[in-house]
Amino acid sequence: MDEIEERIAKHNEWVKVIPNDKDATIDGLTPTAATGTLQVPVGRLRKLAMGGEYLSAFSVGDQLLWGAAEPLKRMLKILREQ
Amino acid sequence: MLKVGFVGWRGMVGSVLMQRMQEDGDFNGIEPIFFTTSQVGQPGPDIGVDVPPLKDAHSLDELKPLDVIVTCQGGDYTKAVYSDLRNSGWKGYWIDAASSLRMEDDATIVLDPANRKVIDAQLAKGAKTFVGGNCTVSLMLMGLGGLFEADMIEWMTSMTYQAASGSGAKHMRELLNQMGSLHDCVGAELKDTSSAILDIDRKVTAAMRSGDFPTDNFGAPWQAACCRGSIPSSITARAVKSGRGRSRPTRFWASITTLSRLTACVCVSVPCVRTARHSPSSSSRTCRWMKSKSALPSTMSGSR
Repeated sequence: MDEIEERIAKHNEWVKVIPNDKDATIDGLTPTAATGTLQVPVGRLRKLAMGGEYLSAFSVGDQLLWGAAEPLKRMLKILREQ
Repeated sequence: MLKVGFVGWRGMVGSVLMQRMQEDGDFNGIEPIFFTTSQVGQPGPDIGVDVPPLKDAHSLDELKPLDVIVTCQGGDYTKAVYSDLRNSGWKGYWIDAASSLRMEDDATIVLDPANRKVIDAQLAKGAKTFVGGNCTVSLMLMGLGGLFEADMIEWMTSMTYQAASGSGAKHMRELLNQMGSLHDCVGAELKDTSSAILDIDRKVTAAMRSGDFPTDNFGAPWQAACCRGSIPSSITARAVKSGRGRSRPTRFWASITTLSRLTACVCVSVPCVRTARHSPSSSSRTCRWMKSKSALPSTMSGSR
Protein backbone atom coordinates (compact mmCIF):
# COMPACT_ATOMS: atom_id res chain seq x y z
CA MET A 1 0.00 0.00 0.00
CA ASP A 2 2.91 2.37 0.64
CA GLU A 3 3.89 2.36 -3.02
CA ILE A 4 0.31 2.89 -4.14
CA GLU A 5 -0.05 5.84 -1.81
CA GLU A 6 3.25 7.24 -3.01
CA ARG A 7 2.23 6.96 -6.68
CA ILE A 8 -1.07 8.71 -5.97
CA ALA A 9 0.55 11.45 -3.89
CA LYS A 10 3.31 12.21 -6.39
CA HIS A 11 1.06 12.65 -9.43
CA ASN A 12 0.34 16.32 -8.86
CA GLU A 13 0.69 18.96 -6.19
CA TRP A 14 -3.01 19.09 -5.30
CA VAL A 15 -3.83 15.46 -4.53
CA LYS A 16 -3.55 14.67 -0.84
CA VAL A 17 -3.47 11.13 0.49
CA ILE A 18 -5.42 10.89 3.72
CA PRO A 19 -4.26 8.08 6.04
CA ASN A 20 -6.92 5.45 6.56
CA ASP A 21 -7.68 6.19 10.16
CA LYS A 22 -10.73 7.75 11.70
CA ASP A 23 -9.35 11.08 12.89
CA ALA A 24 -7.47 11.88 9.69
CA THR A 25 -10.51 10.89 7.61
CA ILE A 26 -12.92 13.04 9.60
CA ASP A 27 -10.50 15.96 9.44
CA GLY A 28 -9.47 15.77 5.82
CA LEU A 29 -11.75 13.59 3.70
CA THR A 30 -14.98 15.53 3.79
CA PRO A 31 -16.73 17.95 1.43
CA THR A 32 -16.39 20.59 4.12
CA ALA A 33 -12.62 20.20 4.11
CA ALA A 34 -12.30 20.27 0.32
CA THR A 35 -14.86 22.83 -0.79
CA GLY A 36 -13.42 26.08 -2.07
CA THR A 37 -9.91 24.63 -2.25
CA LEU A 38 -7.88 23.09 -5.03
CA GLN A 39 -6.95 20.11 -2.88
CA VAL A 40 -8.21 16.69 -3.90
CA PRO A 41 -8.13 14.45 -0.82
CA VAL A 42 -8.03 10.70 -1.50
CA GLY A 43 -8.47 8.32 1.37
CA ARG A 44 -10.03 5.12 2.69
CA LEU A 45 -7.41 3.37 0.56
CA ARG A 46 -7.54 -0.33 1.20
CA LYS A 47 -7.54 -3.68 -0.53
CA LEU A 48 -10.92 -5.34 -0.59
CA ALA A 49 -11.88 -8.64 0.97
CA MET A 50 -12.62 -10.20 -2.42
CA GLY A 51 -8.95 -10.11 -3.40
CA GLY A 52 -5.73 -8.20 -3.09
CA GLU A 53 -5.99 -6.93 -6.65
CA TYR A 54 -9.04 -4.86 -5.74
CA LEU A 55 -8.52 -1.43 -4.28
CA SER A 56 -11.13 0.89 -2.88
CA ALA A 57 -10.69 4.62 -2.55
CA PHE A 58 -12.80 7.62 -1.64
CA SER A 59 -12.05 11.03 -3.06
CA VAL A 60 -13.46 14.52 -2.73
CA GLY A 61 -12.96 17.53 -4.94
CA ASP A 62 -14.58 20.87 -5.67
CA GLN A 63 -16.50 20.39 -8.89
CA LEU A 64 -16.48 24.13 -9.59
CA LEU A 65 -12.67 24.30 -9.38
CA TRP A 66 -10.91 21.23 -10.82
CA GLY A 67 -14.26 20.01 -12.10
CA ALA A 68 -14.95 23.16 -14.14
CA ALA A 69 -13.10 26.48 -13.91
CA GLU A 70 -9.50 25.58 -13.06
CA PRO A 71 -8.65 23.54 -16.19
CA LEU A 72 -9.92 26.43 -18.37
CA LYS A 73 -7.96 29.00 -16.41
CA ARG A 74 -4.82 26.90 -16.80
CA MET A 75 -5.44 26.35 -20.52
CA LEU A 76 -5.58 30.10 -21.03
CA LYS A 77 -2.27 30.36 -19.19
CA ILE A 78 -0.74 27.69 -21.43
CA LEU A 79 -1.78 29.72 -24.48
CA ARG A 80 -0.24 32.87 -23.00
CA GLU A 81 3.04 31.09 -22.42
CA GLN A 82 3.27 29.82 -25.99
CA MET B 1 -1.09 40.97 -26.16
CA LEU B 2 -3.76 38.26 -26.47
CA LYS B 3 -7.28 39.58 -26.96
CA VAL B 4 -9.38 37.30 -24.77
CA GLY B 5 -13.17 37.37 -24.85
CA PHE B 6 -15.12 36.08 -21.85
CA VAL B 7 -18.69 34.84 -22.23
CA GLY B 8 -20.83 33.56 -19.35
CA TRP B 9 -18.61 35.11 -16.70
CA ARG B 10 -21.56 35.91 -14.40
CA GLY B 11 -22.74 32.34 -13.96
CA MET B 12 -21.51 29.96 -11.31
CA VAL B 13 -18.57 28.47 -13.19
CA GLY B 14 -17.79 31.83 -14.79
CA SER B 15 -17.77 33.58 -11.41
CA VAL B 16 -15.36 31.01 -10.00
CA LEU B 17 -13.17 31.45 -13.07
CA MET B 18 -13.15 35.25 -12.64
CA GLN B 19 -12.29 34.90 -8.96
CA ARG B 20 -9.45 32.44 -9.61
CA MET B 21 -8.03 34.57 -12.43
CA GLN B 22 -8.05 37.65 -10.21
CA GLU B 23 -6.41 35.75 -7.34
CA ASP B 24 -3.56 34.72 -9.62
CA GLY B 25 -3.26 38.02 -11.51
CA ASP B 26 -4.20 36.31 -14.76
CA PHE B 27 -5.84 39.43 -16.20
CA ASN B 28 -2.47 41.16 -16.32
CA GLY B 29 -0.81 40.72 -19.68
CA ILE B 30 -3.97 39.99 -21.64
CA GLU B 31 -6.59 42.27 -23.14
CA PRO B 32 -9.84 41.03 -21.57
CA ILE B 33 -13.11 41.82 -23.31
CA PHE B 34 -16.39 40.85 -21.70
CA PHE B 35 -19.47 39.74 -23.58
CA THR B 36 -23.12 39.50 -22.67
CA THR B 37 -26.26 37.99 -24.09
CA SER B 38 -28.53 40.61 -22.50
CA GLN B 39 -26.73 43.77 -21.38
CA VAL B 40 -24.80 45.12 -24.36
CA GLY B 41 -23.15 48.46 -23.68
CA GLN B 42 -23.21 48.20 -19.89
CA PRO B 43 -19.92 48.64 -18.00
CA GLY B 44 -17.70 45.56 -17.78
CA PRO B 45 -16.85 43.95 -14.44
CA ASP B 46 -14.30 45.36 -12.01
CA ILE B 47 -11.37 43.01 -12.35
CA GLY B 48 -8.56 45.40 -11.55
CA VAL B 49 -7.78 46.33 -15.16
CA ASP B 50 -9.68 48.58 -17.55
CA VAL B 51 -12.20 46.81 -19.74
CA PRO B 52 -14.48 48.14 -22.49
CA PRO B 53 -18.29 48.11 -22.16
CA LEU B 54 -19.98 44.73 -22.60
CA LYS B 55 -20.22 43.46 -26.16
CA ASP B 56 -22.81 41.27 -27.84
CA ALA B 57 -21.94 37.59 -27.39
CA HIS B 58 -23.96 36.67 -30.48
CA SER B 59 -22.23 39.15 -32.79
CA LEU B 60 -19.75 37.33 -35.01
CA ASP B 61 -18.24 40.68 -35.98
CA GLU B 62 -17.44 41.39 -32.31
CA LEU B 63 -16.10 37.88 -31.72
CA LYS B 64 -13.93 37.60 -34.82
CA PRO B 65 -11.13 40.00 -33.71
CA LEU B 66 -10.49 37.88 -30.60
CA ASP B 67 -7.46 35.61 -30.25
CA VAL B 68 -9.16 33.52 -27.57
CA ILE B 69 -12.77 33.03 -26.46
CA VAL B 70 -13.39 31.55 -23.02
CA THR B 71 -17.02 30.57 -22.55
CA CYS B 72 -18.86 29.37 -19.46
CA GLN B 73 -22.18 30.37 -21.01
CA GLY B 74 -23.36 26.79 -21.49
CA GLY B 75 -23.94 24.34 -24.30
CA ASP B 76 -26.81 26.20 -25.96
CA TYR B 77 -24.60 29.22 -26.55
CA THR B 78 -21.83 27.04 -27.94
CA LYS B 79 -24.28 25.36 -30.32
CA ALA B 80 -25.63 28.73 -31.42
CA VAL B 81 -22.31 30.41 -32.09
CA TYR B 82 -19.36 28.04 -32.47
CA SER B 83 -20.04 26.55 -35.93
CA ASP B 84 -20.98 29.87 -37.51
CA LEU B 85 -17.89 31.51 -36.05
CA ARG B 86 -15.59 28.76 -37.32
CA ASN B 87 -17.34 28.72 -40.70
CA SER B 88 -16.76 32.46 -40.97
CA GLY B 89 -13.04 31.71 -40.98
CA TRP B 90 -12.21 32.51 -37.36
CA LYS B 91 -8.96 30.78 -36.38
CA GLY B 92 -8.78 31.76 -32.71
CA TYR B 93 -8.71 29.52 -29.66
CA TRP B 94 -12.06 28.45 -28.22
CA ILE B 95 -11.95 27.39 -24.55
CA ASP B 96 -15.26 25.98 -23.37
CA ALA B 97 -16.66 24.78 -20.04
CA ALA B 98 -19.69 23.19 -21.70
CA SER B 99 -19.81 19.56 -22.76
CA SER B 100 -21.36 20.08 -26.19
CA LEU B 101 -18.07 20.01 -28.12
CA ARG B 102 -16.43 17.36 -25.96
CA MET B 103 -17.13 14.56 -28.42
CA GLU B 104 -16.06 16.51 -31.51
CA ASP B 105 -12.94 15.36 -33.33
CA ASP B 106 -11.34 18.78 -33.39
CA ALA B 107 -11.74 19.33 -29.64
CA THR B 108 -9.13 18.51 -27.02
CA ILE B 109 -10.17 17.93 -23.44
CA VAL B 110 -8.06 19.90 -20.99
CA LEU B 111 -6.79 18.83 -17.59
CA ASP B 112 -3.13 19.68 -17.80
CA PRO B 113 -1.92 18.05 -14.57
CA ALA B 114 -3.04 14.78 -16.19
CA ASN B 115 -2.67 15.38 -19.93
CA ARG B 116 -0.30 18.28 -20.52
CA LYS B 117 1.65 16.26 -23.09
CA VAL B 118 -1.50 15.69 -25.10
CA ILE B 119 -2.41 19.38 -24.92
CA ASP B 120 1.08 20.35 -26.12
CA ALA B 121 0.95 17.80 -28.93
CA GLN B 122 -2.48 19.02 -30.03
CA LEU B 123 -1.31 22.64 -29.95
CA ALA B 124 1.69 21.70 -32.08
CA LYS B 125 -0.73 20.13 -34.57
CA GLY B 126 -2.67 23.36 -34.74
CA ALA B 127 -5.63 22.45 -32.51
CA LYS B 128 -7.75 25.49 -31.65
CA THR B 129 -10.61 24.08 -29.58
CA PHE B 130 -10.15 23.10 -25.94
CA VAL B 131 -12.93 21.83 -23.72
CA GLY B 132 -13.17 21.12 -20.01
CA GLY B 133 -13.69 17.48 -19.10
CA ASN B 134 -16.57 15.84 -17.34
CA CYS B 135 -16.17 16.91 -13.72
CA THR B 136 -16.31 13.34 -12.43
CA VAL B 137 -13.56 12.25 -14.80
CA SER B 138 -11.45 15.32 -14.09
CA LEU B 139 -11.66 14.85 -10.34
CA MET B 140 -10.92 11.15 -10.74
CA LEU B 141 -7.78 11.92 -12.70
CA MET B 142 -6.70 14.57 -10.22
CA GLY B 143 -7.16 12.07 -7.39
CA LEU B 144 -5.97 8.80 -8.89
CA GLY B 145 -4.01 10.01 -11.91
CA GLY B 146 -0.86 8.47 -10.44
CA LEU B 147 -2.29 4.97 -10.81
CA PHE B 148 -3.50 5.59 -14.38
CA GLU B 149 -0.16 7.07 -15.31
CA ALA B 150 1.62 4.03 -13.91
CA ASP B 151 -0.59 1.82 -16.08
CA MET B 152 -1.86 0.01 -13.04
CA ILE B 153 -5.62 0.04 -13.45
CA GLU B 154 -7.52 -2.54 -15.47
CA TRP B 155 -10.96 -1.18 -14.71
CA MET B 156 -12.65 1.08 -12.25
CA THR B 157 -16.16 1.63 -11.04
CA SER B 158 -16.83 4.97 -9.48
CA MET B 159 -19.92 5.77 -7.44
CA THR B 160 -20.19 9.52 -7.62
CA TYR B 161 -22.10 11.72 -5.22
CA GLN B 162 -22.76 14.99 -6.98
CA ALA B 163 -23.41 18.14 -5.00
CA ALA B 164 -26.25 20.56 -5.71
CA SER B 165 -23.84 23.18 -7.06
CA GLY B 166 -23.51 21.16 -10.26
CA SER B 167 -27.16 21.91 -10.99
CA GLY B 168 -26.88 25.65 -10.58
CA ALA B 169 -27.56 28.50 -8.20
CA LYS B 170 -31.33 27.97 -8.03
CA HIS B 171 -30.82 24.40 -6.91
CA MET B 172 -28.40 25.44 -4.18
CA ARG B 173 -30.95 27.92 -2.87
CA GLU B 174 -33.72 25.35 -3.00
CA LEU B 175 -31.65 22.82 -1.09
CA LEU B 176 -31.19 25.34 1.73
CA ASN B 177 -34.90 26.16 1.63
CA GLN B 178 -35.68 22.47 1.91
CA MET B 179 -33.38 22.14 4.92
CA GLY B 180 -35.00 25.18 6.54
CA SER B 181 -38.45 23.88 5.83
CA LEU B 182 -37.71 20.59 7.54
CA HIS B 183 -36.16 22.28 10.53
CA ASP B 184 -39.14 24.62 10.85
CA CYS B 185 -41.64 21.77 10.92
CA VAL B 186 -40.01 20.20 13.99
CA GLY B 187 -38.38 23.26 15.59
CA ALA B 188 -40.34 22.96 18.83
CA GLU B 189 -39.69 19.23 19.18
CA LEU B 190 -35.96 19.72 18.59
CA LYS B 191 -35.76 22.18 21.46
CA ASP B 192 -37.33 19.58 23.72
CA THR B 193 -34.68 16.89 24.20
CA SER B 194 -37.29 14.50 25.57
CA SER B 195 -39.47 14.59 22.45
CA ALA B 196 -39.90 11.29 20.62
CA ILE B 197 -37.56 10.94 17.68
CA LEU B 198 -39.98 8.77 15.72
CA ASP B 199 -42.58 11.52 15.94
CA ILE B 200 -40.01 13.96 14.59
CA ASP B 201 -39.18 11.52 11.80
CA ARG B 202 -42.86 11.15 10.87
CA LYS B 203 -43.32 14.93 10.73
CA VAL B 204 -40.23 15.37 8.61
CA THR B 205 -41.38 12.68 6.20
CA ALA B 206 -44.84 14.22 5.97
CA ALA B 207 -43.32 17.64 5.29
CA MET B 208 -41.16 16.25 2.51
CA ARG B 209 -44.16 14.56 0.90
CA SER B 210 -46.46 17.58 1.22
CA GLY B 211 -47.27 19.77 -1.75
CA ASP B 212 -45.84 22.80 0.07
CA PHE B 213 -42.30 21.46 0.13
CA PRO B 214 -40.07 23.58 -2.15
CA THR B 215 -39.22 21.34 -5.09
CA ASP B 216 -39.61 23.61 -8.13
CA ASN B 217 -36.02 23.18 -9.25
CA PHE B 218 -35.05 19.68 -8.20
CA GLY B 219 -38.52 18.31 -8.85
CA ALA B 220 -38.10 16.18 -5.74
CA PRO B 221 -37.34 16.59 -2.04
CA TRP B 222 -33.56 16.53 -2.37
CA GLN B 223 -32.84 17.04 1.27
CA ALA B 224 -32.76 13.57 2.79
CA ALA B 225 -32.93 12.12 -0.69
CA CYS B 226 -30.47 10.73 -3.14
CA CYS B 227 -31.49 10.96 -6.76
CA ARG B 228 -30.04 10.24 -10.12
CA GLY B 229 -27.76 13.01 -11.24
CA SER B 230 -27.86 14.97 -14.43
CA ILE B 231 -24.86 13.13 -15.77
CA PRO B 232 -25.57 9.98 -17.79
CA SER B 233 -25.75 7.06 -15.43
CA SER B 234 -22.93 5.26 -17.11
CA ILE B 235 -19.89 6.79 -18.67
CA THR B 236 -17.67 4.22 -20.24
CA ALA B 237 -14.32 5.20 -21.56
CA ARG B 238 -11.83 3.03 -23.33
CA ALA B 239 -8.26 3.68 -24.22
CA VAL B 240 -7.47 1.45 -27.13
CA LYS B 241 -4.13 0.09 -28.17
CA SER B 242 -3.61 2.42 -31.09
CA GLY B 243 -4.25 5.49 -28.99
CA ARG B 244 -6.66 6.66 -31.65
CA GLY B 245 -10.07 7.24 -30.25
CA ARG B 246 -13.49 6.66 -31.66
CA SER B 247 -14.84 9.19 -29.26
CA ARG B 248 -13.78 12.10 -27.15
CA PRO B 249 -13.64 10.18 -23.88
CA THR B 250 -11.49 7.71 -25.74
CA ARG B 251 -9.04 10.40 -26.63
CA PHE B 252 -9.01 11.62 -23.07
CA TRP B 253 -8.07 8.15 -22.02
CA ALA B 254 -5.68 7.98 -24.90
CA SER B 255 -4.04 11.00 -23.33
CA ILE B 256 -3.34 8.90 -20.31
CA THR B 257 -2.21 6.21 -22.71
CA THR B 258 0.33 8.57 -24.14
CA LEU B 259 1.76 9.33 -20.76
CA SER B 260 1.95 5.81 -19.55
CA ARG B 261 2.27 3.74 -22.72
CA LEU B 262 -0.85 1.97 -21.62
CA THR B 263 -1.57 -0.85 -24.02
CA ALA B 264 -4.79 -2.31 -22.71
CA CYS B 265 -8.28 -1.06 -22.08
CA VAL B 266 -9.34 1.00 -19.16
CA CYS B 267 -13.06 0.83 -18.60
CA VAL B 268 -14.65 3.24 -16.22
CA SER B 269 -18.28 2.90 -15.28
CA VAL B 270 -19.82 5.73 -13.32
CA PRO B 271 -23.24 5.57 -11.74
CA CYS B 272 -23.91 9.09 -10.60
CA VAL B 273 -26.36 10.41 -8.05
CA ARG B 274 -26.92 13.91 -6.86
CA THR B 275 -26.99 14.21 -3.10
CA ALA B 276 -28.25 16.77 -0.62
CA ARG B 277 -25.05 18.70 -0.34
CA HIS B 278 -23.98 22.05 -1.70
CA SER B 279 -20.45 21.39 -2.82
CA PRO B 280 -18.20 19.63 -3.68
CA SER B 281 -18.66 16.21 -5.21
CA SER B 282 -17.17 13.04 -3.83
CA SER B 283 -16.65 9.57 -5.21
CA SER B 284 -16.19 6.09 -3.92
CA ARG B 285 -14.06 4.11 -6.31
CA THR B 286 -13.19 0.48 -6.71
CA CYS B 287 -10.56 -0.55 -9.17
CA ARG B 288 -8.87 -3.71 -10.34
CA TRP B 289 -5.18 -3.82 -10.94
CA MET B 290 -3.79 -4.52 -14.36
CA LYS B 291 -2.63 -8.11 -14.64
CA SER B 292 0.93 -9.10 -15.47
CA LYS B 293 2.36 -5.66 -15.40
CA SER B 294 5.94 -5.07 -14.53
CA ALA B 295 4.81 -1.76 -13.08
CA LEU B 296 2.73 -3.63 -10.55
CA PRO B 297 4.30 -3.32 -7.13
CA SER B 298 5.61 -6.63 -5.88
CA THR B 299 3.50 -6.28 -2.78
CA MET B 300 0.42 -6.27 -4.96
CA SER B 301 1.56 -9.20 -7.10
CA GLY B 302 2.30 -11.20 -4.01
CA SER B 303 -1.10 -10.59 -2.57
CA ARG B 304 -3.02 -12.20 -5.40
